[in-house]
Amino acid sequence: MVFPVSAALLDALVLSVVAREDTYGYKITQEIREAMEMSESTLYPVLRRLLKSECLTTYDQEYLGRNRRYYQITDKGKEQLKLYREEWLVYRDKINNIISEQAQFTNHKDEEVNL
Amino acid sequence: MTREEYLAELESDLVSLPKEERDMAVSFYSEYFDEAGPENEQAVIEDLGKPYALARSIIGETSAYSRSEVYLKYKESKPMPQNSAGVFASLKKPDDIFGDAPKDEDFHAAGTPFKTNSDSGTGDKGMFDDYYQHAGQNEQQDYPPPPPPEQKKSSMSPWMIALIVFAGVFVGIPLLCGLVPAILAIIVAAFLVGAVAVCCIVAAVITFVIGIIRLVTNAPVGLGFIFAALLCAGIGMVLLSAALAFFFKLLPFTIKGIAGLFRKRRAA
Repeated sequence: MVFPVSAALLDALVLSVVAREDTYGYKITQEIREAMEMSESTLYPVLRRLLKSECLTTYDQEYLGRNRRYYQITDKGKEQLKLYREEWLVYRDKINNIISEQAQFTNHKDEEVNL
Repeated sequence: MTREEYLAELESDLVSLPKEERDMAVSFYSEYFDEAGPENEQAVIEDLGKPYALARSIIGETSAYSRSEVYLKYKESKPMPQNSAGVFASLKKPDDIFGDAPKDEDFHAAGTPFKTNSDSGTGDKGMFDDYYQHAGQNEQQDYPPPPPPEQKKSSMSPWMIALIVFAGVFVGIPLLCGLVPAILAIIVAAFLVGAVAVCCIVAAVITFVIGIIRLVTNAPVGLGFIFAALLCAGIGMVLLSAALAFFFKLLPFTIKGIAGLFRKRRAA
């Protein structure tokens, strides 16, 4: 991927994935990898960060005779995700307004109404 | 490297973390290997990078404050700023685009070791590729460094001080007694070399004049004198330049060095 990914964006991605359903580390990595090139070493620090800030909790479940740790979003995590989603829309639109070809002649009045 | 070796190495590289944190990290990657299946073992190891680098990224992350938390706090303290889109910005200078984008340097992807080998045209090629992939990027930029593993003891025991003083007296003084005459002797020797050089040059000039005079009466003897004079002048020049170099280059340099040493010690 050409564009580097910020820690906040990674948090937002992981929170989004976990918010859909409780899931485990390997699967989270695979899902995010569908969108971007991500090293397998990237996820753990993100999960740690989200656990520490109490956006996620974990529980263990047995699977094929071994342990599988599931991640679950907390209320705080949901709140945080909501915030990230709002921020993402604003960011996405602003970047799009600058970067995309179609958006170059955007009417400024429209833009003001949107914000 | 097998999975077991990799995890063992990772665990030993995480020794600076509390046991609980270390076990969590190791069991996370152990589970990851399980999920990936034995057929992908080598691919996972390759992708994770060297255990040391992975450990660094884990340590950096666990000891750092939570970015999410910081961001939440920021949100609470201020109403939503107009240009808050900067939170997601991961460009080098987001301020260029977002103007007063708030504190977004706190949220850059400093702690995310991303692959760069598939990037097209980002310039991170060659030797940097390796660095970014294996060393991780968490040591870069604004990332708060992990706290030092242990602080140096600031106070030395009185025994230690006494030992140093004794060593100073019994080693330093004899050393000084030996060194001062030695340095003086070298300076005197250099003076002598300079004097010899001057003598050589004077003698060479005289011999040269005699040689010229003799050349008229007795050509071979004259040539001999001239040859000797040139030889003498050469030796004189070499000695003189050596003496001059000693006095004008080596000596000031040494004195400055010694003076600097003392100044540093006094400062410390």
